Amino acid sequence: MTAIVDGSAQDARPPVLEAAHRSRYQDPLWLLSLAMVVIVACLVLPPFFSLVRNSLFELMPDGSAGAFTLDNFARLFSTGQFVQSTINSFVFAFLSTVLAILMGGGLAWIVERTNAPFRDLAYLMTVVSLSIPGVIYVPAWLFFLGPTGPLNDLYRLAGGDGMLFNVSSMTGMVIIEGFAWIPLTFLLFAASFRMANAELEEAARMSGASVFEMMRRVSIPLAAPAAFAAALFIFIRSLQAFDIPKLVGTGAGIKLLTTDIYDSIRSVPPQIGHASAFSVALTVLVAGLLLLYSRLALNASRYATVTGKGYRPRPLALGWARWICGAIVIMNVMVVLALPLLTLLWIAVTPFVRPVRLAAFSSLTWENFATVLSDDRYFELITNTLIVSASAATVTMMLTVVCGWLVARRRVYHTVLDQMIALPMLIPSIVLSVAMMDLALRSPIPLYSTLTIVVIAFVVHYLPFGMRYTFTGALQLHKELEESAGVCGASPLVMLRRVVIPLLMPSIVAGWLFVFLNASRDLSTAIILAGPDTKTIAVAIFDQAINGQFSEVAALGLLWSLMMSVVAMAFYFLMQRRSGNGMSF
Amino acid sequence: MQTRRGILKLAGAALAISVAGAAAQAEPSQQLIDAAKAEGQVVWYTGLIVPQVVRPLAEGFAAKYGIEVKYATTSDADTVLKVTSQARAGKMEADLFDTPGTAIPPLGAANLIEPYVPDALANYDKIFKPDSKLYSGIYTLFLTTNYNTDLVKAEDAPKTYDDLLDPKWKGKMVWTDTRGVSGPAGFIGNVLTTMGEEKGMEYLTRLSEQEIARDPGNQRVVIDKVIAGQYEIGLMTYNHHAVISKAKGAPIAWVKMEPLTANLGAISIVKNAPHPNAAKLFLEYMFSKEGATIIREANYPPGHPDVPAKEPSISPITGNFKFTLLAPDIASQEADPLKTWLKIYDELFK
Repeated sequence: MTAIVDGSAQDARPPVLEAAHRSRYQDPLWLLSLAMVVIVACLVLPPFFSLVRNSLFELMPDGSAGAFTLDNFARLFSTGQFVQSTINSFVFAFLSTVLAILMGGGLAWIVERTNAPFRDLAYLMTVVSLSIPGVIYVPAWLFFLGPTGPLNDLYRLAGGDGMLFNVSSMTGMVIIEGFAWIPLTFLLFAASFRMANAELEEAARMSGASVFEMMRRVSIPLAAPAAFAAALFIFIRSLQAFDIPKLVGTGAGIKLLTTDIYDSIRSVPPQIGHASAFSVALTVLVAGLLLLYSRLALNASRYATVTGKGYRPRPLALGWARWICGAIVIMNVMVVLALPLLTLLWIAVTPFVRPVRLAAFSSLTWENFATVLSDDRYFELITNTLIVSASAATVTMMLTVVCGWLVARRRVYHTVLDQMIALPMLIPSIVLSVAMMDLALRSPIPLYSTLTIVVIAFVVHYLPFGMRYTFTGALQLHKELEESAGVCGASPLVMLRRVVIPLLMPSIVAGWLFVFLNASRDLSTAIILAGPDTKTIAVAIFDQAINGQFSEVAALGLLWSLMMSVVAMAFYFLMQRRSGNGMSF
Repeated sequence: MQTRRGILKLAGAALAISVAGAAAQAEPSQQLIDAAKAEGQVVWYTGLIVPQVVRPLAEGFAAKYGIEVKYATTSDADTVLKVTSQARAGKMEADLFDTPGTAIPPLGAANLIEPYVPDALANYDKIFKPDSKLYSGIYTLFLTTNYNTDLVKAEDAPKTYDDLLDPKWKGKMVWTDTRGVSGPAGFIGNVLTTMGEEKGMEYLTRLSEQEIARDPGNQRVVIDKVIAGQYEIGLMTYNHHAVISKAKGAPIAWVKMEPLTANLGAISIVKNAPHPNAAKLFLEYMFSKEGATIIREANYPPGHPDVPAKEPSISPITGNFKFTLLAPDIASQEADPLKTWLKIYDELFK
């Protein structure tokens, strides 16, 4: 490539060849990189320091930090059966990850790359499932798979004795955790499959490879970096999961590393130190995994498939196998959506929790829905929730699209940036909320009990999630597009705005929606940070969950999911209209 | 501890003065009302049911005095976290908080509770107004055994603590894993208090052989599992929950297994509260006959001697049963006696 250089333009447009050798501070984007580092550091480091401090100092009765202590760490190892708990934790996290990837990853490939029937259902399923609050999702599965649930009921009806499946088991825990991660896995993989260059797959097919061979040798290796990142992400989150191991495993007496922590953060006053020590230990452990990951991603440019050439993949014609793939789509929709929702509906329309019986149909009632709908305080809660979630999603995606691209391009400070953004993954949301509360109280600007502090907490919490979308997307953009923009005279910022961001739009929108939906159903952060004037819908669900019957919680949760699904789909429809037909969702 | 006799005597006294008493019960002083009105609002951290209790009280108070009640739903853990953090930063937001008891010891120890006894408590039983003045009791709730009436016939259902040792219940009983006085630790405390240390421990050891299932949910979740038929018998569940569900047709009944375990719903004023007078006036309102009636309508048995429970059977006066009160003062997980009871629970039942 030749660059025509004239004296006046030299500073603004350095020759491409020279640019390759320029030193750190001549990177035209160093100021942007630095700004990002500072912003992310301000967001991420204070809660992380608070995490480390809480793990190392005694908690005084007034909540202040006392003397230095290693008790919190000692307690991690002294909880009896430490080895067994560790093994259980890893088995649980590993199997959950595998299940989520088999189901969600497989679904993503089918939806994005094949002509299988029912594909459109997948996104609908994801959007709706992401709006179901966890506080009703887990009990729904526990009921469905439980001793008096439909599964075991059917088994007994078919002449079986006792129970077909015991949900209080490692299998039960893995199934519920794994299913819960399918939507995220699907979205992450779909973003990457959508951008993969179909020409390579087509070339493989033309060279005589079977569909399976093509998948093994082309599709899967191409998706590998994104897949590994997603897998690691889900693995770490499952390793940290508190609720499902406790709610499902208690009956079976299965102990995970987090089982005691669940108790300690729910005791009064909460033993934040114990949970913090666990996170610090996990950070050390995961640091090794992250290092491995960054080495693997070193040659990430090999995987760039979105080049200057037309790249919209064409769906693969599958022949008879499309019906098998269609069945897989339906199966995913069943386990992610249909079964839990139908279970919740059953619970919501029965006056009290009871097995599914013909006899029970006569007593069905809409009373629980009527109770929820007649309560007029929801308007304020809904408004607050939408403001908080939309702001958090927008800020998160604005930050991560720049950071994701900077890291993918290995710009100045990319290592620091990448690692800082990964940090919140390791901070349990209660620890994060407590840290945020402290910061808000100390801040000279009044932040305490405002919606702003809730938004900031959500941004910190969802940075790693947003990054998964934009980083993976940016990895697949070939540099040549950006370079040609540079050659055409665009400054880096213009290039970012006019080339990178539009190309990443599918990832950005998917990430936005993910953060938006998750923030709107997040209970723990909202409860601790919300003040009397800044209540969100989570507060109402929480109020029901601690006081009411499960039937009412189910009714409220279902109505809320319905509303959020409509909001999310309306949003998508508008986005699609605005960007023409180019954006696939 | 409180027994039926004490309550009965009190009920009699209350009846005697009820006619004159209503008039004799003084309205809050004008001075307090004026000071409260000047503050304009009161902030309440609550774990009570918002639509049924919190909002009607807030609306009634606002209508009567023109003072706005702002409330935030919090659990005990959140209340303690928030109040201690606010105190450290010197930016107190909360005026009042209520609790099933657990938040009293830690906040009391941190010196973050303003001692106060509302005048409106004058006619209440002394269990609602402790000497420490750290809290005022709103109501007592009673924990006991219940059973699924489809699976267990009334004549076969356990009636006494000893009946629970029958081998036929092995593996068929459930209780919550809650680590407060409203969980198994409270059951243990009740048994040890009633039967004495030695006999109590012997009983608990035998009970532990019954393989009682531990459910991570709260008492409401446990009773729902009994209703669904997953277990035949639930221990340590609230009798008013059984009454509410039975009214909807659920196959559930509660057993008057004496003495029942009782815990107190309590409310306190935060030290250095930003609206201390409004908080005091709110407590006067809450414990007045008007406030107690709102609490009664929400199906809680109020402590007010002139306001009987909506469902007479769940109250010890009208339902005629003995109980052991596990007051907020002993609800600290980090101090005896609860600490010891939890230890027994961990050792015997896990």
